[in-house]
Parts: sequence; structure tokens; C-alpha cells
Amino acid sequence: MAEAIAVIRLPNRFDFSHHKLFFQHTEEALVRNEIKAIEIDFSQVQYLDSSALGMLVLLAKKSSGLNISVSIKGAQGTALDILMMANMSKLYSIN
Amino acid sequence: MHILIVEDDLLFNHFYSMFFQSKGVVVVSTYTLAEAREILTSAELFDAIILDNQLTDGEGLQLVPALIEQYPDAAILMVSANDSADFFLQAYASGLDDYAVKPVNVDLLWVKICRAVEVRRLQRVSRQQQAELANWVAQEQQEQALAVHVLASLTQLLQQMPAYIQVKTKPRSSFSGDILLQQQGQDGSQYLLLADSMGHGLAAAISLMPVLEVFQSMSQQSLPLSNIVFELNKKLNRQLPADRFVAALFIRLDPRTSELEVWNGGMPPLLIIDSVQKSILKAESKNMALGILDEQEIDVTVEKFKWTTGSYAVGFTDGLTDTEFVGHGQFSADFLAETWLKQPEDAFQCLEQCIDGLSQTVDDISVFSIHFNQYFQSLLADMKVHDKKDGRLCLDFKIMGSALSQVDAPLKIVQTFSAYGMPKNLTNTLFSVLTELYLNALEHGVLKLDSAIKQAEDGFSNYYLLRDQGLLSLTSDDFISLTIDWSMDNNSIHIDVMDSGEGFNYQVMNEQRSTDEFFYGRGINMIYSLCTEVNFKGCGNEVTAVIIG
Repeated sequence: MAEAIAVIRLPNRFDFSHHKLFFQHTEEALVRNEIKAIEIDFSQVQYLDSSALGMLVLLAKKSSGLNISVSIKGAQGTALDILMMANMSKLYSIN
Repeated sequence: MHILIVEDDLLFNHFYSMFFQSKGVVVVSTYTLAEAREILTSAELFDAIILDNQLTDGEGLQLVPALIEQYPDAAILMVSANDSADFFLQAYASGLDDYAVKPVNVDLLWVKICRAVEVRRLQRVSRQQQAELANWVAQEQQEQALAVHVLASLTQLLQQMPAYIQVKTKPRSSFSGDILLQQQGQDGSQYLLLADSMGHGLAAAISLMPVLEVFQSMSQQSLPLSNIVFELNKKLNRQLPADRFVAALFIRLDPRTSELEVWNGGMPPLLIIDSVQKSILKAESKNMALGILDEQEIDVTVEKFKWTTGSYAVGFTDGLTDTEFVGHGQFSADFLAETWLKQPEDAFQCLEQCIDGLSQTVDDISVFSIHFNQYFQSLLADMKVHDKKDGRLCLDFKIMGSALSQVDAPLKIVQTFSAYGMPKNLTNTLFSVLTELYLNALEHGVLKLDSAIKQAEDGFSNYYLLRDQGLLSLTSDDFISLTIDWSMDNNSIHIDVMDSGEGFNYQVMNEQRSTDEFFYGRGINMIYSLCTEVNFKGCGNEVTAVIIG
């Protein structure tokens, strides 16, 4: 597993109430040396708030320091609109 | 074994009797028809009757009808000195099992008796089994009729297709393992599910039962396809045995876009045929059927396809492509699509005729087609109805003291508007804006938290720790009031949010609006992006915003 990808699946509502779990999951992925990419699975997300955007920015910063690429997949509807509105595509490749 | 002997010759009678008793048989000897008739009136039962024909008071044959009536399961063997073929033909016709010509070889007679008794026994067993089988079939038919009725009534509403969706089904037995369901969401989007359960008959139909309720309720709430797929997979995984699964094709039509959303797990491709552009697209299965993968493994990403008024979407179960059509062979997906392109208007009718022409099918067959021209017309008709909406809904909401710690006020408000028919996209925008405004009022206004805390190491956690502490020490003077005013005719929402906080210097805020270098300030940017108008008032503790749908 030279080029392992960590997939982090998000819940229906990605907001401040999810920050503990989100950081727990991302920290677990970041400390594993074999991880070269983190994929955030948005396919379940219907709603995200501004603190969720903050969490995503923080993850992008930490990852780039470790040369880990970050991407978002499955985002749709309002969630995708908010990601695009916040220009998250500058930090994440959004599929 | 019990044997009745009717023989007038004392010697023969005794001889038979001794011989049978030596074989362990219980014997009753009679010498005349009259004596034999007397025995018939008793309760005694016999396995076989040895009947002589020449009796002192008449012919043995005369007794045969009475013997058959009294002992329908007993074997009757005649012994007679008369060896004419006509006589024995007549004897057989009256219901005799076998005969022996005098002088009788008792060993041979014994073999004949045993054989005749065995034949009678087998006939009895066979009759019993037939009766049991008939009972079982009748019970099975009753149970199946009940199950058919229950399934039909459960799926009745879900199977009433709108006019632009044509359907043809041909089940292999009284139960189909295929099911086609539709449901309109509260936001006007149309959901369609074609599912093919593993196997056939009742077992396959039962596997589909868990699908019905989840599909109906989630579609009704206009939830994204990916959420529905995820939930159904979870439910089937839990409720079906490991060797059962359900292939499924999900479709969602959103009236606000010209897009068709598809998720295909283990079904033949959905054909998207454009009769004007003469193009064929296929939404192939990229996933496993539902009920196999666990929550971490399943990919619920949906695919999107553009449609035009010249488009058709054709979906089917593998029963269609696996069937041999007389004179045509098997229909491949490509063949179907190309044939459709040649005659789009009549294609469905032709296919229907082919399926009707099948005498027997090896699998359940289901096929549907969506005619987008008709769908478009139905949307236009709907729009005319909706144009007449001129209502208005205004909600004043004030939350005070410890009630503020229940931070789901925006959700409750939005649910109320949704219940009054606010379109889904507008509801989503309202929810985002209201949440940001509410959290700003709560965190920065009432709780006086500084977003700069988030910048520090572990800032996020500290920020939320302080927030939780603040929520515990709220007083009755703390409040947030919200006014949300929705005009249905132009789909505009006016929002006013005020809090008990000290406000802030909003004049300089625009200059300080954050960039990606900071982990905060995104809320206010979101509000500005989603609203056509945002104005802070007073000392900064009041804000008004306008959303245009």
C-alpha cells in the first residue's frame, strides 16, 4: 500500500456538531505514513455551515504541509453550491 | 390380516381356513350367502374375501356389490369351478380383484391374495396422498392470494405512474421479483425505482418489502438519491439473509434542471436516447446490488445526464435481455437503443407486443420508458397552476435565556416553511442563511466569542469549549429574535435577526472580510453570497437580509 488513500465519509449535516469526529478521523489519517491522499466523501451531505468550511480549510492546510493531496467527491445540491461559493476548489479537487 | 371365507364346501372351507391361520391370518368362515350377509352387518373389517361362486343359496357374484359397499378397501378373490372366459370377464366387471379355478393351489391363492391386498393398500395410500396434496394446494393458493393482495395494496399507489412513464411487466409466476415504484417529492421532483430481487416468486417478492417504505418516505421528503441509496442498502443489508440481494436502478427528475440523476447497482444500463440528436447514452451499472456491501464500502455517487424534449429514457430488468423472442432471438441493450432511434414514437408499443407474444418467460420481465416531451408538457401545466400562488407566510420567533442553547431553531423554522410548500432549493438557501445569522447572533452577539480564538493552535476545540461554557451561563436577559417573511408570489424572503449583544462595528467589516488565510469569517461571506441584500442596523446587533428564489 504505497499510495494509500484515506476516505472520510461525512454525515447528512456537516456542521459544528461534527467537528470532534471530523478532527478525530482526519488526525487518524494524517499520522499514517502511507497515506498520500485524503478523499472527503460528501455524497451523504445535504447541508454544511460555515464552521464546516473552516474545518475543511484547516484540513487542507495540515495536509499540504505533509504533502498529502485532498479531494472532495460526491458533493451535490446546496452542499456543492456552498463549496463552490466558498471557492473550496482552490484547496480541494472537487469531483 | 383378516380374511372372510364364503365357501359352501366344508372340506375346502376348512382347508383354506387352516392354511391361512398357519400364515398368521385371522379367518372368519361362512358357508352360505345368508351367513355372509349377516357378517356384513357386523362391525368386523376384512383385508380380503375368498368367495366361491356356486353356493347352496345362490351365486357368489350376487354378493360382490354388497361386499364392495361394506369393505371398499378389501381385495375380493373368487374361486370357481367355472373356467369360462365370459364368466370371469363378467366377474371382473363387477369389481373382482382376482380369481382362482378349482381345484385351487393354496400357495398360488396365497400369492394372489397378498398381491391383491398390497395393490389395495397402495391404492389407499395413493388416495390419501392425493387428498393431502389437494388440501396443500388449496391452502397454498389461499396463502398466495393473500400475499398477492397485500403486496398489491402496499404497492398500489407507488405503482401509479405519471402519464409520461410507460410500463410493461410480465412476471414469471404470480409473484414478480421485479418492482417499479414511483414517488413525487414535496419539491416536485420525480423519483423512480426499478428493482430486481434475486430469484423468483414469493421469496423474491418478499425481499422487496423492506424497499417500499424507505423509498416512499425518503422520496416524499425530496432527499437526494445518494441518501436513499445509502439507507436502502443499509436496511437490506440488515434485513435480508447474506445470500439475498436486490439490483436497483434509481432515477430522479428535478423539474428545475434538465438533468436526469441515475444510480445503477447491478441492473442493465438505462438507455438515454435522444431522437433529435440521434445519440444514445448508457447509464451502466457501476455498483453492486443493494444488500451486499456495508456502509463503508458502498459508493452512492449519482450520475447526471442532460435531457431534451426529444429524449427517451428506457430502463429494463435482465429478464428482457435474457429472453428468446421468436423470430428475433435475444434483444441486447444496443439493439433496443438502435431500434428505438429508428421509430421512437412506436418503439414502446412494438416492445409491448413482443412481450405479450411470449408464451412463457424464464425470468420476470419489466421495462419502462420516460417520454421527456410529455414530461416537459406536464411541467408546463404544473407551472400554470403554481403561478396562481399569492400567499404569504410570516414567522416571528423569539428565543430567550437557556432556550438559546437548543441551537436547532433555524431547522425548526425551515421545517415550518417547508411544510407550507416552500420549494426545496429555497428552503436549503433559507436554512444556510438562517443558520449563519443565528450562529453569528448567538456566538458573537449573545456569547461575545471572538472568532480569532480559532486561529490559535487547538483553536477550534477551545472555541467550542468556550461556547459550551457560555451556553451554560445564559440569563433571562439574553435573547435572539427572528422574523422571516416569505412572499410566495415572487418567492422572496425577508429576514430580520436581532440579538441582546453589544453589536459590532459593521462599517469596517467589509475591509476585514477574511481570506483563505483565516479559519473564520466564512459565515458572513456565505450570507453575502446567498442573499441579494444584507444590511446591519443599529449598533450591529440587528441584521436584515433578502433572499430571492
